[in-house]
Amino acid sequence: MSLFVREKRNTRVVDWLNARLSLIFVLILVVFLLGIGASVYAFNVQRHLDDQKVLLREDADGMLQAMIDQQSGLRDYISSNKSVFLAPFLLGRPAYLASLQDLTTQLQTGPFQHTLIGLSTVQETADEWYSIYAISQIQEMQAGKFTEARSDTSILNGSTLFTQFRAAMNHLQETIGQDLAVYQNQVDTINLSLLFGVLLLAIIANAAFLYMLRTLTRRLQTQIVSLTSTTERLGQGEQAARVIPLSFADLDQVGQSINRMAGAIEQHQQAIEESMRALERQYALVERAQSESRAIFDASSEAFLFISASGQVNALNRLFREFFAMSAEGVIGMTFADLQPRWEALLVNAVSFHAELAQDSTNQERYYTTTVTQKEPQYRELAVSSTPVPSSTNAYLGRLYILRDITREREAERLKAEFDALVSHGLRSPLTSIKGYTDLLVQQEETGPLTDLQREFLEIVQSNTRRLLALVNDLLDMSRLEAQTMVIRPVPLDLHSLIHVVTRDMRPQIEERHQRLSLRLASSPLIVLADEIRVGQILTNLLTFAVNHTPVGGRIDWQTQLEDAMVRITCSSSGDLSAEDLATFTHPFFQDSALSPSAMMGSVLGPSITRSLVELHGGTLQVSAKAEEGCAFTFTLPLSPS
Amino acid sequence: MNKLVIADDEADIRRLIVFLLRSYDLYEAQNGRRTLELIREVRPDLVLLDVMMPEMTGLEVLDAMRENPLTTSIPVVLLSAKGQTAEIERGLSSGATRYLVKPFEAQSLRTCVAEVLGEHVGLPVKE
Repeated sequence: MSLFVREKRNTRVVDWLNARLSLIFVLILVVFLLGIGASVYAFNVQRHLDDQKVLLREDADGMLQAMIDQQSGLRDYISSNKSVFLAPFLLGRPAYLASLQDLTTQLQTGPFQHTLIGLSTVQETADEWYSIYAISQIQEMQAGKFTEARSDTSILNGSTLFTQFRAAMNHLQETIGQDLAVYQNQVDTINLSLLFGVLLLAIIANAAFLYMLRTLTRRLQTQIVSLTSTTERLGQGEQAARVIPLSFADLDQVGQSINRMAGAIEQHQQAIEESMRALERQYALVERAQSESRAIFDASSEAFLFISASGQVNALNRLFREFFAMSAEGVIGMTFADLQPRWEALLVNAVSFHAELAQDSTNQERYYTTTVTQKEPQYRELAVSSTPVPSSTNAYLGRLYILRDITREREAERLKAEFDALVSHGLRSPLTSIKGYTDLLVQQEETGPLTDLQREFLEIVQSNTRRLLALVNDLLDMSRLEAQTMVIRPVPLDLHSLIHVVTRDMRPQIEERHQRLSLRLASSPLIVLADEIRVGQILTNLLTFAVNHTPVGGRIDWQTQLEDAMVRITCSSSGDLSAEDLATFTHPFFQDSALSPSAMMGSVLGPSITRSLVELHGGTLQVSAKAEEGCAFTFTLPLSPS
Repeated sequence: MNKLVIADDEADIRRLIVFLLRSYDLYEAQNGRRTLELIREVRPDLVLLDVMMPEMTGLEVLDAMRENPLTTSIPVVLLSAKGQTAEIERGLSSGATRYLVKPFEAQSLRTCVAEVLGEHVGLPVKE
């Protein structure tokens, strides 16, 4: 609470001080003016009193003198009977009345009750002397009665009356003195009161000033202490410390600035802590990723050797150490140039590999793969790939050598190649002879005539040779498809003419079974992008399958359709396919009946090979079979871009 | 009469080819090295070359022939039990005129030989 005004918040120190100093100034000014006023008033009152003292005494003296003048004039007149002495008497009366009047007026303006009473006594005695004695004496004198007028009795009478007047007059002067003394007392009291009043006001003003100063200093101190203690607490790291709202607007602004600063510092601190935590998490993640990749690195079935950009051995995994019986401690950190002779000493014919490695140091961009053979500590064939390792910003970090043990693969490849050679050479070469000679004998043109029985039997040999050859071909295809070494060479080729060729080649078998073959081909020629031999094989296999699975007198259809960038080829027939027949398209050896002599042209492997060949061309083979409608094989080939 | 060198390590197949092409002047070889010698000796009009032969494969013989200016223009028909597209391409890119897959039809062989010889009639295959 304040003495003067209840201050609002948001008062500035200066405004607050200004308001109060102005007020104090006005107060002191008022006190000062009041003091001046009071002094002037007191001075005037005193002067008036002093004036009245003089006037009252003058008037009283005037009255006495006038009466004395009358008495002495009258006495002289009576004793001398000269009228010239009458003049002072006559003049004395109005002078007395004038002084009386003046005194009466003077007495009206002050506290002169006692004097007024005394004055009325004076008046009575004077009038008595004048009317009873003086007037009668003059009348007697004028009447010539001098004796009577000059008698002792009259003189005594006159003297007694005048003595009464003098006594009243003395009394009056005493009462004037008394009343003036009272009056002086009153004025003194008033002056003293004024003095004390002004003094009191001055004291009050001073007290107010002091109180205001004390309030100000106390409030200032409290608020400044609040500011400094908060900044100290902040300085000691107490982030939650805040300056409480302060009543002085300017100090409060300082406080709010400090609070904002503290808030900013706290936020900043929190952000720093948050990023520290994020860093820690990231670090943990990185550490985990590192150990994971180390585990993966070590568990890899390939051997790794990483050479840093500066040419030092930076990392090698478990398998690399195993391959070359090297310890990580002995190798990591050494230069690649030092490692190289140790490494190459374990390899067979390292000269060409050495040349490759020599290029690595000069050409950072270079990527290559090669194979090397290791002789010690164990025989291995290794596929080596050497690849530069760029950072995410494409800076060169080093080079990674990846070594894969391909000893078994090579062995398997050799075995497969041997199988291939065995089947190709070992089976097809004898078949070449069998077929060549049988064909010659059956034709009889160059080898002479046969008996019917000989011819019949040789034809059986011929037919079985064909079957055997088909089986051998399929076996080779199957082996290559499984090894994924089958390569197709897509070229633009006329699908319709290929269908015509395949159909023409199969004509004898179709006619033999009295089947009706119809071609429902697209009106325009269709140029597909495909391997001619393999598409011929697909078409032949499908037609063969259809012929073999369509009853005598049945119907076989070829159909082609253009669909977007694809050609859809369908071979449908009225044949009825069993579940086992359908299964041969997904499982090569399911159809045990395929080995029966009735499957003249068929091969156990045909359907499966057909499906794989279609897939090699990027299509799928769809087989549908319905009891009433027969069966249909559909596959697609890509249209050649014109 | 056109001179032909027949190279195959299997006597049965050589016999078959010889029988089928008996109208020509034929020389036989049973391995790659002998084939090359025979070619240099005989300067044939055509070589029927088996691919899989001991000592030198047919393709090696072919490469050697192409390196020698005296034999480089002699047409070669490869005979092979390997019928893969890649293998056929490999043979033709080495300089073979034709590639016949075993087993072959008698008529195919005769037509092929006649065509290749016919194509080269009038060409300076001999000195």
